[in-house]
Amino acid sequence: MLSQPLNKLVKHLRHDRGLTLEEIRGQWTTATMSRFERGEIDLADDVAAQLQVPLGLDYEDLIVRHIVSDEDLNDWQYLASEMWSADHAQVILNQLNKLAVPGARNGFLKVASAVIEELLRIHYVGSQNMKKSVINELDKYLANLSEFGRLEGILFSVCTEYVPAETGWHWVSRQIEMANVASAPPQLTRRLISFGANVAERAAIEQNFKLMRGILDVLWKLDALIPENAFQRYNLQLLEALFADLTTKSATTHRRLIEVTRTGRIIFSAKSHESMVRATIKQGWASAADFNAMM
Amino acid sequence: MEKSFAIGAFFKKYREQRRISLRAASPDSPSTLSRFENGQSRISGERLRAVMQREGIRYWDMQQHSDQYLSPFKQVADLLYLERFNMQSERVDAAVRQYKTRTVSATGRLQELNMAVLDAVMKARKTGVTTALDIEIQQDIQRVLFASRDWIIYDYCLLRLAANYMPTDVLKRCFKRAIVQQDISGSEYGDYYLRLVEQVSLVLLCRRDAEVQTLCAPQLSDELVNRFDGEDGFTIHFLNIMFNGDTRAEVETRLSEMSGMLKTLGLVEMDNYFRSYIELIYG
Repeated sequence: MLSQPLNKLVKHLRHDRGLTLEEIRGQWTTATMSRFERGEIDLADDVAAQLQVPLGLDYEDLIVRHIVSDEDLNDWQYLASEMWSADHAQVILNQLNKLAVPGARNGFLKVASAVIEELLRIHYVGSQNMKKSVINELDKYLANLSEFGRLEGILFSVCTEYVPAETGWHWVSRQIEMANVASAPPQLTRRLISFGANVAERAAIEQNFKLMRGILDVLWKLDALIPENAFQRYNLQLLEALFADLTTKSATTHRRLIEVTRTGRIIFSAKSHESMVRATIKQGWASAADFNAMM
Repeated sequence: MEKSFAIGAFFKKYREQRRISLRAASPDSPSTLSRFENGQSRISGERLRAVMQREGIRYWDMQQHSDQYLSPFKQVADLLYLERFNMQSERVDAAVRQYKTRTVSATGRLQELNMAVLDAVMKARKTGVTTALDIEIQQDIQRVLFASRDWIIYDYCLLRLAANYMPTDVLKRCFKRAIVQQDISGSEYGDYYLRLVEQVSLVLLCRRDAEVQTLCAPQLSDELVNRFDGEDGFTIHFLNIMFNGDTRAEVETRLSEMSGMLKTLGLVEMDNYFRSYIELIYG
């Protein structure tokens, strides 16, 4: 694991790039920069920004090197059902509880802990539905936001699997609204498509085809805004094929569904692809024989 | 993206919407946080990160608001990577323009290298002809990469973008340095390393280099594929076909099967991209 304080990283990068303190000092004096490199003082957070051009340093390097705190984003990804791990969930929950200041109000920590506790319960008892009280708490929290944080995006999208599709779509479409997709970075738009695809699948399970159609129409518009990408395109084509097969079943629509699913073995890891095929069979959307015949 | 980013105001709004009290966000010193939010003082990086933890803010969120949290070179390198299936896209122009705007007053050795590499990319895009970088630039890139004992994203991106514009011997020397580096840093920079391996593999395949398979194939690890953030299994699949096919006929069968899958998904640009590589590789 690469791990060192920021000052050490800056110092050795500066040496490796053959630069003087003067060339990287930005708004600080060379004496201040020197004390910073030696670890005697901490500077404001934006010190990293002034090192972007001379050293080529990016905030993501700080994340990779565990200098800043975003690395726990990985733990959060484990809340998603296909990666679900009760151990990871418990780790996050413990971290959140540690951050809480007794007697002080913190809506984020409160709602995040409530959701993770509920996810632990759902997985433990094998339920498909979140408790009404937690859904209401999330809804109330959402109503106050003018933008989603990354963690909140994960939290809401994880929950969409266990709430009625109408509710899930309300959450995701609020995120799309807030994101200003016309100028959003493609990485963000991709996330929104994935979130929406989860809800569309839930709509298919509920056989709410009107909602499913509406969601797909919105997601295709988002897809047109970003560079071609196999992951999101697979999601959309699969849902489109599923929609056709569930609403106007024929040999052609069914063959198409199997064909699209089959491309997943190049796009996803073998393990995820297998579990996706199993889920399709479990929903009754296709049979094991369909896949055997094609493979 | 906001031009000037008032970080204090951002934190204040974020906190208030989530009903987080000053004390809950900064128990050691609520008043320091308050002054910071009102733009009256700055706070240290360490204290800011503690506040971010309690409020559920990540750097990713700040990047949505301000370019300040994204280095100009990584920004353009990431965008060019995402656009690789269709380099003629207008977004490529926009990305390079944005880089130039952001670094208009920048000086220094890395900046010169970045500009030279981006110019080479844009020239090839416009004329369809690949021109080698000036010899001094090549040497300087090599010097930077070899001097760096601990590569950061910048180093991986620089070599990836420059690869096609370097003579084979220089490219291979730099790539071997990257392999050594990757052994040191493990999987931490896996995404960026994989992008580099892909690009070097494609460049050397097109040049029909005798060493391409022994040099690149062992570096292609399926485990490094980040299947969400821009990577996809198709490029890996393509390279595996190229490296592992026993006969030309077998390679062709597998390539046409892959092309069929891309068509199934309506991935027209990707299909064209791989076709043009097949043409370059087999002539």
